[in-house]
Amino acid sequence: MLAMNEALIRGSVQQHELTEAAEILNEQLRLEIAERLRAEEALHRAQGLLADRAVRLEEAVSARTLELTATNQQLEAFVYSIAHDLRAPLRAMQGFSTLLVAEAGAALSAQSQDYAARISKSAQFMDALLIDLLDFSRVSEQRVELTAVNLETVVASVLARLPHDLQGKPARVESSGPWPVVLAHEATLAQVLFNLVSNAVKFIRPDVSPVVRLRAEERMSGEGAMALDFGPSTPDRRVVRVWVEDNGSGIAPRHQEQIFRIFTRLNGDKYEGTGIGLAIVQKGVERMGGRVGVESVPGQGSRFWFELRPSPTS
Amino acid sequence: MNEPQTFLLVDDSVDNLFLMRAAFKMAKCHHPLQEVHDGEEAIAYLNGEGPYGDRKIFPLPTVMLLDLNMPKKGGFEVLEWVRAQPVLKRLTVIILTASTRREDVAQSFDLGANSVLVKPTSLATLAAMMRCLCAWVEISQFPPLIEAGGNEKHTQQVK
Repeated sequence: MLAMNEALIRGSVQQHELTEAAEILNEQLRLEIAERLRAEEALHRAQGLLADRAVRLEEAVSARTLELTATNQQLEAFVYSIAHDLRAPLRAMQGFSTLLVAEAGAALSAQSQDYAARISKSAQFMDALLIDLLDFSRVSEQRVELTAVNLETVVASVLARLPHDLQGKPARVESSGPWPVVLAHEATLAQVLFNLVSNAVKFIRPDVSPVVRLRAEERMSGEGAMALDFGPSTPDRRVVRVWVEDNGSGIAPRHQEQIFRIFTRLNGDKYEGTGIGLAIVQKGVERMGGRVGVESVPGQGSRFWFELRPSPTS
Repeated sequence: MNEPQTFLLVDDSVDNLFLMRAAFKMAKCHHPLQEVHDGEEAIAYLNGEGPYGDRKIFPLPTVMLLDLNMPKKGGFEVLEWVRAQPVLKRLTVIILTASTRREDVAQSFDLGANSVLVKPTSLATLAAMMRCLCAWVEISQFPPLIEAGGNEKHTQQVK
């Protein structure tokens, strides 16, 4: 009996303890649920805030894009007006000075004829400047999308365009393949090559016939003296280096960096030119994610190069 | 020389018009030249309106040399208008512009230009261009701008 009583009491104590434990557990659960609810609410708030921020960011980006597009259009309009409006008076200067000599040439002294010729020549030089400036701004401003471009095709088209610009100089241009496929913007690449080759045949003593060699080689970036950097995210560091080598007058080491700056002319009026050609080359190659450089010893010709990434499919 | 073919020069710059006449002369191209100074005048001329009413003095041109950038109505507007006219739509229109913009060349052809020439700086080059143009005009056939059975009056009705 006693034992039974004891057992009963123990049982009720156990029950009591169990109930208490359950209540504590319940309370804990309630707290936890409340905590979770609070956390969830906070999360919702944060998400809402984030979404709001995202929307505002998107709005800011599209507003900025609109602004930039407007600025770009203004720039394009500006460049266009340079082409149209500034060149018109040049045509008049050139045309009327030509007419002056043609119609009154006999009545003009040799000196006066020379003055008229100088007006005409200056007008033509300024026209060349404006055309080169337009090319430079086109290379700087236009959208450059890189696609796989076959160098061989570009080299062939540049060489085909060249003879008209050599002004009767018996130049020899040798191109030796193989030509890899590179990542480039075709029109920009053609302009870069054209400028380099025109440059290569230009700066030469009058008694020497220009010889230009074109070739390409694949190499790892950073090989050789100049370090290259296509950004840390480029795991494949293979590059295609295109060489344009000439037998011209060469460039002193102290001038080798200068020549890529716009309006740099080392030879004054000795050679025709606007000093923009190599600036276009550098800007164009930069826009395509590459680098340019030159190796030269005065009197022994120059070796210009530029590097582009090879097409991943090649 | 073949029968005379009238050229209509449309340009807002009197200097340009003067130099174009000089270029035609240097090119030994002696076809009659008419000139107007903006797009509105060009349309009035082609319509035979106002001062251009007498086709004996202001005949319909065989070729119109059209500048793009002009006050009042520009070259594109004139070209669009010409191509929308039942008879004039066959007129040979050559754009002669300072613009080298690819969009302008594309739009000129889209609107029905027969050719686009860029004004050169050098007068000698302009003369060489006009020599080519005259040679081309002299070996070409052109459609009648007045339809069969039509007359001066018909042209007048073209609006």
